[in-house]
Amino acid sequence: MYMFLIAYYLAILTFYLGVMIYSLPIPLSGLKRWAPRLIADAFYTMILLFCISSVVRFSEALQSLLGGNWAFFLSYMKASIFFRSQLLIFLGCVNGIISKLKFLSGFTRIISMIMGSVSASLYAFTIMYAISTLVRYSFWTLIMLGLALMAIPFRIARRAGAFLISFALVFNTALPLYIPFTKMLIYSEGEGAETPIIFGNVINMAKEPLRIGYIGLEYPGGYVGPLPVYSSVYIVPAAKFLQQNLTIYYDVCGHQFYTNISKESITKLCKMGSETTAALCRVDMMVYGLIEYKEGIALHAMPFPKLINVSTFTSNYIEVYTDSDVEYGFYISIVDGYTIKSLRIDGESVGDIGNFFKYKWHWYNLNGKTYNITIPVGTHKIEIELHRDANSAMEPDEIYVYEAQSLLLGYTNAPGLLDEITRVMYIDIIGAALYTSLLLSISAGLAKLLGGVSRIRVIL
Amino acid sequence: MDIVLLIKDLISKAVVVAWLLFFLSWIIGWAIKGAPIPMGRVRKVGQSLIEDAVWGAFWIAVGTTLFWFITYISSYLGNALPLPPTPQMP
Repeated sequence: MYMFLIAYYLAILTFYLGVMIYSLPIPLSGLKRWAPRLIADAFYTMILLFCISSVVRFSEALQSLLGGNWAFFLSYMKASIFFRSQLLIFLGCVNGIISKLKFLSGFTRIISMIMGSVSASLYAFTIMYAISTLVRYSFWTLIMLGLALMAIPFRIARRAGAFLISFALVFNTALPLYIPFTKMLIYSEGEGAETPIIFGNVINMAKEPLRIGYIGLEYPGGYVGPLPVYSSVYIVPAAKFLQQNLTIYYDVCGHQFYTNISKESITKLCKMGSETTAALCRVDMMVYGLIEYKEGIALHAMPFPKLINVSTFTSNYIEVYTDSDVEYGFYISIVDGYTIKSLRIDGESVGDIGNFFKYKWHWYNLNGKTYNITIPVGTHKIEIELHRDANSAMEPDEIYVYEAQSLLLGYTNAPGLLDEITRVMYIDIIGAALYTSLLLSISAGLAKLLGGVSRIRVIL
Repeated sequence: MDIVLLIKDLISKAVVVAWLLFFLSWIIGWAIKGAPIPMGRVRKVGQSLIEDAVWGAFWIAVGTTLFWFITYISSYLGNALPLPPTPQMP
């Protein structure tokens, strides 16, 4: 309102300045030519000042006619930024997993390149979101400031004011139309939803992340495993299993530990059907019973104690602090490459470890054993000393991992996924830059119309 | 509000100065027009001074009426004043 008053009184001042110049007893025609210009400018500014709200209402009606909606646009922007950040996390994880497999490690370069493009797309969207919040929340401020600038006498700031008004008007009207614009650029958005990839964090019951290990996928037709977990993130391309119930197990040391994903369907997990296509969907996984796993050693407990902390975990020495209200069974599953030299609870040795041997198991190409110790109530410190045989393998052979992954990837709609990533990479960057420059040129044209020289030759 | 008060002050000063200047240039214009100078171009200068001064006086007198007229028409458009500059929440 303050700016409006300034513009109003500036317009009146311009008028009287023009009148004053008319009355000057100086016969300089260059000076006297300003008088009719100032008078015309004053009338024009007055008319603009009082018509601006009608113009804004017209532009809003035009926007709704073309199908733009600010609320939808802002939520779309936020969802897109969120999706691209998730995609970056996912690609970082893929990079890590691929670098582990020796015969696929060349792909890390390509994945890094794709990650760079997705980051650029994320920047473009963030900049666009910043511009749209600026225009949305400062719209009337910009308009009033532009009007006040236009009202300054002698046309000092007229072009600047006209540009501000047209910038605010055009961007406020046309920015929400970015969504139908991108829909025109690409053939469809729905295809991406056919290639859902589930990924997420893997944690144990003490909410600690499980950094490495393997998971297995059970579907009504069979079982796929082992699939590696990298940096406590797992990835499952689940395109084949859209309508089926899946169970994911944490598959280590001959045991398949249950997780919270048990007989679930993808559509329910990913809650697809929202406006953003869930080509990636994040489901965090909690493994029941497992404490920690590393290189062929798995520690698990039944029932899980209320507090358990593995302070040291190397291939020679393990130190665990536990606190429990009930007696529980502490299990140590190790592959045959390890032998337990000694086991101490609270500093006291439990004697011959052979007394605690429970059963043998076979895990892909490895054999192993499980030992069970009953831990009494209260706080205890468990120390395990191991001997590791340097020549034996500690983890399943890479060929099993490779087979499991190619089995899953064979079911993925790889061209569809490639389309989705290409869309994210290039069309978003190009579309954002193209659309912003389009809007800027429209606002420049409107500024020329608003701030151009007015040659009203009626009576002056 | 300081700027608005400053501008209002300038407006009233400009009106007073414009009236006085009108009288001054009207008198000077008639003086040049009536002077015994044989060159016609000099007399034309006097003529233009008188004309512009009269235009100035006309606009001073009419200006306020015209501004009121514009305000009246814009009130017919529905909004005499534009919406206050508050942000519109989505």
